Amino acid sequence: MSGKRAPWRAAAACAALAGAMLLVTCGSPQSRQTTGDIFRTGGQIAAGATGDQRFSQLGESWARSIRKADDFLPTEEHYIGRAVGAAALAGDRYPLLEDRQVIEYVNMVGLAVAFSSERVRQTFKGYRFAVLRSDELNAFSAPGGFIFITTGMLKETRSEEELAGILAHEISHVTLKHGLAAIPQANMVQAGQLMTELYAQHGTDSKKDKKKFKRQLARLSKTFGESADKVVFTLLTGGYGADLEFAADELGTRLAAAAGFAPDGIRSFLSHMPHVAGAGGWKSTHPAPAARLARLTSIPAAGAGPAAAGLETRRARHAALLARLP
Amino acid sequence: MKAKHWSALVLAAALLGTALRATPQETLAAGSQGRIGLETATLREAARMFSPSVATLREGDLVTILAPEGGWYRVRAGAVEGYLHSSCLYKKADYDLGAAGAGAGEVTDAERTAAARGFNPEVEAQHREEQPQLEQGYRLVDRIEAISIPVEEVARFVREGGIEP
Repeated sequence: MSGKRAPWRAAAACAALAGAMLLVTCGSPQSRQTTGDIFRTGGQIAAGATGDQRFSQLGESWARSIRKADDFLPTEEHYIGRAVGAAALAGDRYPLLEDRQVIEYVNMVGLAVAFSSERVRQTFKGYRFAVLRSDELNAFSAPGGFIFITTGMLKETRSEEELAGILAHEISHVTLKHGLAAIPQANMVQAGQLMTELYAQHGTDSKKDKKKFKRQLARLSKTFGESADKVVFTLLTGGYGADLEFAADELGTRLAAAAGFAPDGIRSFLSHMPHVAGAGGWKSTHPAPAARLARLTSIPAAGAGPAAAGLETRRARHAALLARLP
Repeated sequence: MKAKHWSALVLAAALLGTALRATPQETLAAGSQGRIGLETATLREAARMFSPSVATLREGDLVTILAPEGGWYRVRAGAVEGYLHSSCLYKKADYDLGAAGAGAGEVTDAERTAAARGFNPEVEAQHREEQPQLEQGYRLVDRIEAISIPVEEVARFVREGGIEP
């Protein structure tokens, strides 16, 4: 990009873009419903305006509207997911397992599900599966496709199909944007407002504008952190609630079946859960296994399941997983 | 780039960003255009994930929809044709400003997209600076993000286990 062009050209281009957007937006009623009143005046921005003047003008003509999970871009979802992961992994509660063979195997099973159904929503950088060194019976997922499972959970799986069922459940939470939906709407709205103000200040020349930009960036960062913390609380303490867990069970069952795994992997694991000692993790953040099983009985067992020819291979690699767990 | 240019570009990008939030999963009609919304997207020979790759497309790349097929689109990208998963694509008309945007001659697609992001690397950097206790967690997330399993390896894993969809 050339820095030699006259500044007025860029400002004029901005105004032209705003005008064009007006046409685009007006031509799409559905867009108007999802983005709110974007162009009330056509978005004329005066050349040479200060940051405050820009905001004043923009505030009349444009505002970023974030009110629901679908309003986040894939790349924004990714950065929220990174913040959620960072908050969950900070401290000593969940150290990462470093065993390459275990990590590859768990990722193979997870990706076999994520790649095999058109119903899986693809994320900005794809799905990653991390193994946490913890005896807790737990698995959870952050927005953007970061999926975590503890060694305690892995040890309780009795087959590759059960593992696939658990990972499919977590992939379903990501696909259905349950993590993003855990961000309170007040935080979303505030983030949208701050983004609007921040864009107006970005790149302005005066010291006053630069200071204001820094303050607004700090406020947006605070909202970003608070949003991530809300998701972490939901994942590790509060839980999504029964309805969203049932939805993830149902979609996960269908995804695992569509991938070619036995469709009853999650059902088999849930039947086993009451016999697992200990509390916390899935036992405290999810509905009781009996309630989940009752809901899953109405889901048709679509899919023929894996071929008998691969049975020994599947058993052997799952046994190799269990043998390597600390 | 001069700061004044940046401010105008970022304002323009903000407008684009608003459009990006519009109905990303809306079905795109044959003949319309879409842009890639993910960091990368693989154009495949057939409408399934394990189908061979035809080309790798990047965020903001433009494709023409030839036909929607289930959860996929048959598309043309430059001189090549192939299949893209529907969740990779955004409607072009909702994504950019066409000729008006191009008229500036100063805003690349990559710059538009980068500037339109609200939660972005700049915000993450600020967050990390303010919350140093999260640094260890962010380093672990970086390592998780570095996990890379080629799709061909997953296909082999699936085949050997008899779990082909």
